[in-house]
Amino acid sequence: MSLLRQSLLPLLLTLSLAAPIGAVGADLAWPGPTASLTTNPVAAPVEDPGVTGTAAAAPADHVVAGLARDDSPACMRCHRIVNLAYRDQDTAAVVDLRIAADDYARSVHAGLACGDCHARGYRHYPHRVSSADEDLDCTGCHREQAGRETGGKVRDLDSIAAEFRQSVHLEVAGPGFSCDACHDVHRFQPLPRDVGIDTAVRTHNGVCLQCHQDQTLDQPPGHDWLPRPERHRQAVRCIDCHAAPGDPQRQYPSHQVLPAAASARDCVTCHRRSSTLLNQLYTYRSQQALRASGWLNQALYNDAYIVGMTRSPTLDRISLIIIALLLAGIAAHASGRYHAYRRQRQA
Amino acid sequence: MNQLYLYPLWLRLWHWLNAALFLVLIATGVSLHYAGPGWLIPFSSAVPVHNTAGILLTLSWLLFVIVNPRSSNARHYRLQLRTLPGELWRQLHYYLHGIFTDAPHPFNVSARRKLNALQQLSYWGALVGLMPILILSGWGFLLSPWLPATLFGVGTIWLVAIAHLASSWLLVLFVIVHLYMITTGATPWSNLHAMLTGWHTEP
Ligand code: HEM
Repeated sequence: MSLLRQSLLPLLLTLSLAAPIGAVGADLAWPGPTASLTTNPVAAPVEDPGVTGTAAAAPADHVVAGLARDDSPACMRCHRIVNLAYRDQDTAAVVDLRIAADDYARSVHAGLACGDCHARGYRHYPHRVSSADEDLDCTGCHREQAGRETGGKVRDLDSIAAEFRQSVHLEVAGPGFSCDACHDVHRFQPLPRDVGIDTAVRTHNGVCLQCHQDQTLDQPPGHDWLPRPERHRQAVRCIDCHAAPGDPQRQYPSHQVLPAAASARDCVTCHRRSSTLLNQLYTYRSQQALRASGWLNQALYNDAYIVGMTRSPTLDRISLIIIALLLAGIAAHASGRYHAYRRQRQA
Repeated sequence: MNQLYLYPLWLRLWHWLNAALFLVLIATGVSLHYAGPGWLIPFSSAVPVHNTAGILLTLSWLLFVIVNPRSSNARHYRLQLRTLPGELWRQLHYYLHGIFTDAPHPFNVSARRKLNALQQLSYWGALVGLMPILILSGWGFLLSPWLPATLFGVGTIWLVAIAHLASSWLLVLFVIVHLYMITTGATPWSNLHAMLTGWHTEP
């Protein structure tokens, strides 16, 4: 999306040559957002996680109207076409310009007409290069709408923006990296609360993997220390290790993505939370050691020992207190004996 | 003055090896459990030392449970169930009261019986009750790749770790009490002297 904005340019708005021609015709009969909603209730796994607070129920009527309002039907005459795209001159990447009406109608932004965000200079066709330089201000709009709205439907993004400003993404990719680099605003939808953990994890990680595609390799770069990377990728969210711990009360994760060096590498943090997880980690490490050094060494240098495995601060304290009480009792007993001995010698 | 030879050489050697191994295991075990910077033994050296001492402790324990029942020392571990409760009570009463009022020792050491009921019970408890749990759980760590992943629905290693932690903590309590109780002989040093020389001396 940011590509779209930065370099829309020689508006060679063409149907992508790579796409099957047949699809074009098939897609022409756009049913309109309302119709699509009735035939496609919110169900499919969402592409893009948002806040997990509000379950995505069917949007209210006024929300559906976005694509039917103002100039939107005119925009959609072209932008509904499945293979509407162009090849960017600088990067040679194919940039998708299609707006999937169904997805849009299910998204949180379904109530917005195209012109609500894309305000200037789109009357001309082909659109002007400069039209794409519009400065879409997610946080500004959200702040404004959140102030006006009372239902809590529109969320103020300022705290997210504050985290994002410290994110390694911004540091490395520069100001071109913004909300839409990860979140496709035309599909953005809250992750329903009742989805299974695996779906939630897959959806969340899908966002990261859009760009970090090399992380799906058998040996994902930077993760050579991590056992079974593909299993970890299916079971935990990337941001569980790669983002600053957020406010646990909040329903969305921290947007302060950390640099690799600052990301969590402590296996025990997660694995001590459940004994089965712990067991997996321990056995894995033992097997590694065994393979590397044979059983005698494994027995003597049992490196698999998990520091902190059995450490519960409460139990630790109680057990030390009992030892301290025992020592105190012994000291009292000994001094009683000593006094008895002194008395006796004096007598 | 009455002298009895109650602690044969093999028993003393076993006992002091045992005591030394315990001290090493406690020091390194505490360092593993509370691993981190500070006054503890560095993790990387604590691991092999702890594991080596644990394996030696296993051998020393096996030796004791094989040799002791076949030796003349076995009679001292025979429990007199009928008189045990009364004897225990007299012993406890002495330590909680009589010892402060210069009452006579309720138990007389003899060639046929050197251990009073409380000693008998605590040595049985430590050697036959706790040490097998300690040793088995220790080996559970070492042999973890061959253990089932879960036991009774919980991760096996977690059970092993809890058993090891609990039994070692109880044995630490035993050692603390043991160290103090040996000072309650005829004089504070007479029991230690006996365990070092083999000779029990009555004033
Ligand atoms: C530095 C630590 C220790 C010291 C100074 C020490 C000292 C003594 C002394 C003086 C005795 C003779 C008194 C008696 O028979 O009750 C004794 C006996 C005994 N101790 Fe220890 N001990 C130590 C550690 C241990 C440990 C760690 C264990 C085993 C877990 C242990 C097990 C025994 C047993 C079983 C006896 C009776 C042996 C027999 O006569 O059959 N001791 N100890």
